[in-house]
Amino acid sequence: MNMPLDADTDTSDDVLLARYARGDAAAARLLVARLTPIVYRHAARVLGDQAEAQDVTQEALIRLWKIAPDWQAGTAKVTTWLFRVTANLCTDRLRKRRGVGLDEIAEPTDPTPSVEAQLQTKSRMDALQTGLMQLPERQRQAVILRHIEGLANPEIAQILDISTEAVESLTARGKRALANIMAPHRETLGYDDDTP
Amino acid sequence: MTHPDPDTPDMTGLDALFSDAAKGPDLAPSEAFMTQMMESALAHQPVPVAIAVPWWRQALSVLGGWQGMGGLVAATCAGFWIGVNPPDTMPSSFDSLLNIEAVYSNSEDTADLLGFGWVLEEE
Repeated sequence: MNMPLDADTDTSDDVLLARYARGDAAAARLLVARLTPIVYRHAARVLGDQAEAQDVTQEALIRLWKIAPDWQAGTAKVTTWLFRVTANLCTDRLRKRRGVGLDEIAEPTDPTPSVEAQLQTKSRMDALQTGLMQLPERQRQAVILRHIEGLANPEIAQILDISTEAVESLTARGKRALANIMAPHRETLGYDDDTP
Repeated sequence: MTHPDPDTPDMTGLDALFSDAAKGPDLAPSEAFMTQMMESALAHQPVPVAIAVPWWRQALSVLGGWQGMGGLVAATCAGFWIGVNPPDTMPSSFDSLLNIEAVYSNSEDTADLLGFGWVLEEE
């Protein structure tokens, strides 16, 4: 399938969603091209499992398609709503997977034994993913949304349904914890070498 | 790479890693998955339904909506009233029906109408 690039950056998600609800196939194509990578990337980073990330992405977008006819333009950003649904779906899956409390430190779900071993054959991104997977789920979500997706704290607060202060605390603690996790592998990660 | 304080995490290096992750396509969905998502979007898309518009609403639309309809009603009322109670200088509709022409008297001094009531004397 020749998926067109999301070249139409001028049209807002709100407008596209309204057009989608009226049966506009072009709007559907644009929304899929625009939103699928965002949702999938976030789910994959939070879950550390691409197959599960695909399931979550599909479920999140189906919910968006179903709510499209009733979407109130201007009340919320489509991406914020979608991130929130995705975050909740990820939380549900992680709960089922682990059966433990949200903020308990989880064991890495990646079967690879260590960050060091991964770095031998895989990219720095894999190492980052492994490090992220060692963070508690809420910290991981906050760190990904803040530092990788680049969202502002108030928007993250909406997504995670917590206060902005709690977001600041989560991201600060998460980043510090991640830095400590990655610390033994600084040289292998090539912070200085790869940083422009 | 040297690090001055082993107890202080390297946030700068982590920021660089985040930056690479943000722009890196390491987690791009596959083309097959995008196709699947596209099919799902179309399958869940509401089908546009042709809504039957009542005849009076269509007529209203042709006449220019409520504003056009208001103007039309006002003009009709004014025309009707002029027909019922025409001005003195207009033949009544009843007279017109009987083919009676209005007769205008010219009893007034035309000087009052055509001039200032006095005549300039020419040399």
